[in-house]
Amino acid sequence: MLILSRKNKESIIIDDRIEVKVVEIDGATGTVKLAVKAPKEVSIHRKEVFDAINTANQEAVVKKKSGAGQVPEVAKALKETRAPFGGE
Amino acid sequence: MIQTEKTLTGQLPFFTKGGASTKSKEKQEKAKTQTQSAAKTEEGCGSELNLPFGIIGFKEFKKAEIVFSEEELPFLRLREPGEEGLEFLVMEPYGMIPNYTLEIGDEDLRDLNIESQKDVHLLNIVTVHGDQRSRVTVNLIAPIVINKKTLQAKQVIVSNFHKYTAKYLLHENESTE
Repeated sequence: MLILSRKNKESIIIDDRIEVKVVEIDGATGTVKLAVKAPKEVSIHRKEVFDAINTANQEAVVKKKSGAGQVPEVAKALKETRAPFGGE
Repeated sequence: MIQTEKTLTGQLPFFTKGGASTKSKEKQEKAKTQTQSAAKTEEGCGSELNLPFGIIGFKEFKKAEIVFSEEELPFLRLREPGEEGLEFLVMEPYGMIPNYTLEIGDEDLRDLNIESQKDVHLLNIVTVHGDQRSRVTVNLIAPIVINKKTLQAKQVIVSNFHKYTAKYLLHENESTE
């Protein structure tokens, strides 16, 4: 990981097209506010949130072998414990 | 910013056009021919989504079809075309998740060209954990937001993510001990 020091209002440029700028430093809380400028197709997320979603997505992939075979079973259990679903 | 809140009323998927929900066999036959062009091997018909940004951790997941079978409802499957395509179990939150008031940011709405709340459709990714207690969880922080008109979709992290979890427990079996 590249480590750089920046003062308030200073920036770094990534891949010639992404800019990360320090816009506010709150001494009391130790919070740093960053502004990120990047092309639309570049996604930007807080790391902990990204990690949570990425992990959840990875775990959610249906494995071909098991094929989530117990889905009908769970669907049935769910229908029984919830309010009626659907218009039938 | 669009806020969506769904109350505890059941609602069929918007793309069910003559799919597995129809009652009589006759109706089913008719529905089958109507959806022949989008028909897949399972009972339910498919709606094909375009995900220009992929989904988190799977940037190449750009085209997927929604398939379902009666016995699996309310769960649906989101599946990439092809033999080796990735597949996810998904569901609509309506009627299943109480008090799910999510906030979707303007940037995300713009990315999907969504102009009004009624164009929005949501699918949340479900994980079947395959553990002893058969836990099933659903991701409430990052729903797949769909523009009903264009069928463009994106996995969006809701603005009020502090309120929710990526592993909301939907179901687990009682302990037998």
